[in-house]
Amino acid sequence: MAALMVASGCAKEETEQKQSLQGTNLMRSQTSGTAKGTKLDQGPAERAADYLRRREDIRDVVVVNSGDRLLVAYQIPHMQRWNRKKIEKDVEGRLRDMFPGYKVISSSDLKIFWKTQQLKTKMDNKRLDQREVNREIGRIEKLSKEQT
Amino acid sequence: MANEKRKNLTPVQQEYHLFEKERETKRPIVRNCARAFLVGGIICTIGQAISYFYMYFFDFTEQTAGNPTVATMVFLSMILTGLGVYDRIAQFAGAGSAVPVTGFGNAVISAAIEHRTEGFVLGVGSNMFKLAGSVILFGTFAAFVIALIKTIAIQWGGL
Repeated sequence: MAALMVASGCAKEETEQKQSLQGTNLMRSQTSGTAKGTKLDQGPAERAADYLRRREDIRDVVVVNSGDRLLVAYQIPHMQRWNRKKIEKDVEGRLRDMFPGYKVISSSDLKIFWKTQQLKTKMDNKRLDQREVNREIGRIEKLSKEQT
Repeated sequence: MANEKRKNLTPVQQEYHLFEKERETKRPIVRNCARAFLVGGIICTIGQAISYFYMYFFDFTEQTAGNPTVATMVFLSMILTGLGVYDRIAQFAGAGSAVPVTGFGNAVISAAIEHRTEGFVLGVGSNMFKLAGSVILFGTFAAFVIALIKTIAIQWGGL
């Protein structure tokens, strides 16, 4: 049972490594950051992703927006995790200033990053409408607030 | 032994002390540390993989995956202790297998097995948490003290 758990845990890690755990430059060029193939306007998401990519304390970023909601998921470099809370607070504050009309949901949690990445891929491939995207964002937001 | 303490010993005791020191088996501290580091690291790697397993296959975030991961690690170490495997690992790794949370499961089950002959209530029941009980007590107390310090630092220190 343990071997199975370890194998399946590591199996996923390998695919995620390709886009999040490698050297910063290589990794940045591999993650597109926002859903480009969707019919929904992703202008705010593009701007948020551009801003976050320029920051040295952020390694990888995926952003999705729909209606008045902006979902931002990012990864913090390993050694910068000492300042995780500070970075999260700063990013949240800056994004709120940049997008005053939007409800910003930001997280540096790996699970939220995976979920946002999945949503972005779905938006690219399945052409989800705004209602469906909003529902998915709502689910991710709820998950990000989970404490136990 | 400290020099001041040795001065208080009688000449015979001092002679015995030197005799003992010469013949005492030297502890391979560096080798023990290396083994503890390796085995402790392997246990933590397994824990990390289990944590990723819960995050990927269930709705656990990085923050919430800790609880089921700890439960699984303790459960696995309990099974391994019952099968007699963990004891062998512990003999090789020393602190490397005792310090991680798996050592807690080992402490509970090994005490339960040891005292089984004394009956289920007075044997297993009363001795199971002999060592683990102090871990729980001082762990809870330490958490309380740290929380108190943090609260004071936030309220008065403005952190």
